Amino acid sequence: MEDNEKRNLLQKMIRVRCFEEAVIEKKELGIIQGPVHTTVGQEATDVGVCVALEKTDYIIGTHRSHGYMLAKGADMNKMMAEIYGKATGTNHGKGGSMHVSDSSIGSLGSSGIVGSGMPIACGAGFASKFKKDNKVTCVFFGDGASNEGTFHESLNLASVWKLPIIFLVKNNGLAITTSLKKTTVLDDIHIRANSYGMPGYILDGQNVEEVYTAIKSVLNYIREGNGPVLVEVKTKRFREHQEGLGYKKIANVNYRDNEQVQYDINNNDPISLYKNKLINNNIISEKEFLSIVNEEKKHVENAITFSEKSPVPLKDTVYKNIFAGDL
Amino acid sequence: MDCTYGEAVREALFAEMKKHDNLVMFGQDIEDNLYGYTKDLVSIFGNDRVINTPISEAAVLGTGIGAAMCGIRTVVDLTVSSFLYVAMDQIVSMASKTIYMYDGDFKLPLTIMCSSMYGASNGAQHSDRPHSMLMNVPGLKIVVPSNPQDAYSLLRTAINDDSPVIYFTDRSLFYTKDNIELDKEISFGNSNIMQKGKDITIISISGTLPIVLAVSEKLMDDNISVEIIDVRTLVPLDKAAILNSVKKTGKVVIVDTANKTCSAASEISSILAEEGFDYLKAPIGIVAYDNVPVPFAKELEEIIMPTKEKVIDKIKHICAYNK
Repeated sequence: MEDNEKRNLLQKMIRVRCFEEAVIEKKELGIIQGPVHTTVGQEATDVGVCVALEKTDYIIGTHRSHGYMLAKGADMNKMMAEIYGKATGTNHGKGGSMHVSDSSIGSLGSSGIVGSGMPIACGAGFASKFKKDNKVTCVFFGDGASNEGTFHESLNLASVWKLPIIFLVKNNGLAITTSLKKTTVLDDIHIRANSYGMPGYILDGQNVEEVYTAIKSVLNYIREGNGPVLVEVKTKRFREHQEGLGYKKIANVNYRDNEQVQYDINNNDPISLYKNKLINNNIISEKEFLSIVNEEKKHVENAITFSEKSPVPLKDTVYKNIFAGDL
Repeated sequence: MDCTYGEAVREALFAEMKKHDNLVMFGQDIEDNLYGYTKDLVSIFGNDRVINTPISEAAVLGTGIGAAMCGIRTVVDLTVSSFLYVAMDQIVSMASKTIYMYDGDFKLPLTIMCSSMYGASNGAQHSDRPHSMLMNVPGLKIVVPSNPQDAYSLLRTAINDDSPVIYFTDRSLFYTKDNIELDKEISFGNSNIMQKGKDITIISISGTLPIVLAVSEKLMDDNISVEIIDVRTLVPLDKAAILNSVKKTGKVVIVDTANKTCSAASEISSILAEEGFDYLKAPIGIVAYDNVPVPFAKELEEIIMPTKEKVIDKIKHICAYNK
């Protein structure tokens, strides 16, 4: 990897973190409405995967998709405006945080129904194979979704049809407050790839370079026509399932080991880990790091200003686009 | 050409496969024409475009959606309409909402085909008529053809639509025969006035049409002049034609194969009560399935389903009503 690629990975993770921190602040102030799920602590996966993909490759997100979108190159102003429910948002106020999406960066939507993106990925993968456009679809889901029927149906179908798909399971060990151990006998989801005759890999989700490098080689394998791959990224959820004061109330109740969470925040933050690595290898300086942080914070402040100044959607738009061409 | 309802479905699929190079059909057992409307399609268009799928309704429906989002015109054949339920999340949370949630960022040229197979001792699980259930989901178009021409023309319209369409065939009509025009176009939301009349309006939905036509002939003996409207599509619904007819006759009976509660008939009744109250000279009559899971024995199912006798009784009752 070139040094500038490494700096790019760090910069993208910082961008996602700054964005999420601003969203958390505005959510807690009650300025942002509705459910908001942030990816704080999981940025290495979002960034490692989406930077490895080509811009024309497809992604399919979940309710926790801000990171994928930003890493894939979404316009930050439009994204923030969508989360604000404004007319200038990516979906003109009809999607919100859970459904923020922009097809111009290859996004095929973000779905908040757990496990529902995998069948859509089969369709996108089918389309690419049919059109021979050499695109790969990466569908994100969590460990909880791997117990949905759609996981098993989709992996089987994609495998039998050799579709160009990365099934990317972000395993943070938690489905809201229920630990994976209570719902699943296996500790590792990627083992299930064996049942569907596809390769399964496990990656350290706090290590952005490991994720990026592995996904690059997975992409080569898929583009050679070998069919789908299941990639499990083990990661940490630093925050509650959702942001906002309601979820703050359940923070620190004992559904998980809170000392471990604090330990991970202090010692397994993907941004700190990577920053230290790049400083130790003389790829960036502390000063450069701070200037990246300041620059990204400024972008986010601009996005907040843009969103707050943007108009709410026009009333008559509520009846538009129920059907295609319904303008 | 002369053809049956089932053959008309096949002719429409053939015509559209020929017209669009990027039209793909997914379904269970369609390559071998198990259901009788995909005859020779695989040998003509190849199994890149006519594709047998695993029994994974959710994944297959999602495949149709995802492919449609990426520019492939898609038909998903679920065969029996009860199998819609296995794919319900993909239909309701994904197909119906994709155009809206992303505010027109995607087109969704997806036609979901399925067949309602009541009245044939298929037992409780394979005899459902769920068209009205899906009328409650904004973002889906619902098509219910009643004859070979409509089966042909409406399927072609469905496949050319850029929004998700659920196309319900009616298995009781599969072998009805008629002469169809292959270049006849029928757009959605245009009902068909099958017969003009002045005393009462009968609104027919899909497979109830043969009953309604037979009944209207019998009622001529009683000097009751019946106007028959076949809705053709439930979403969009031709409200104007229904209201205009009832404005003229003042009386209406709606015949539906759905379970009566929250049926298409009860929705049409609600529209008439809300928007046509001043036209009504009598209560609105509904003949639909009683709210009972469909029993296996023919003699039992006949008790709960719309029959000629029930429709005649209802019409006579409504016609005799005086305020």
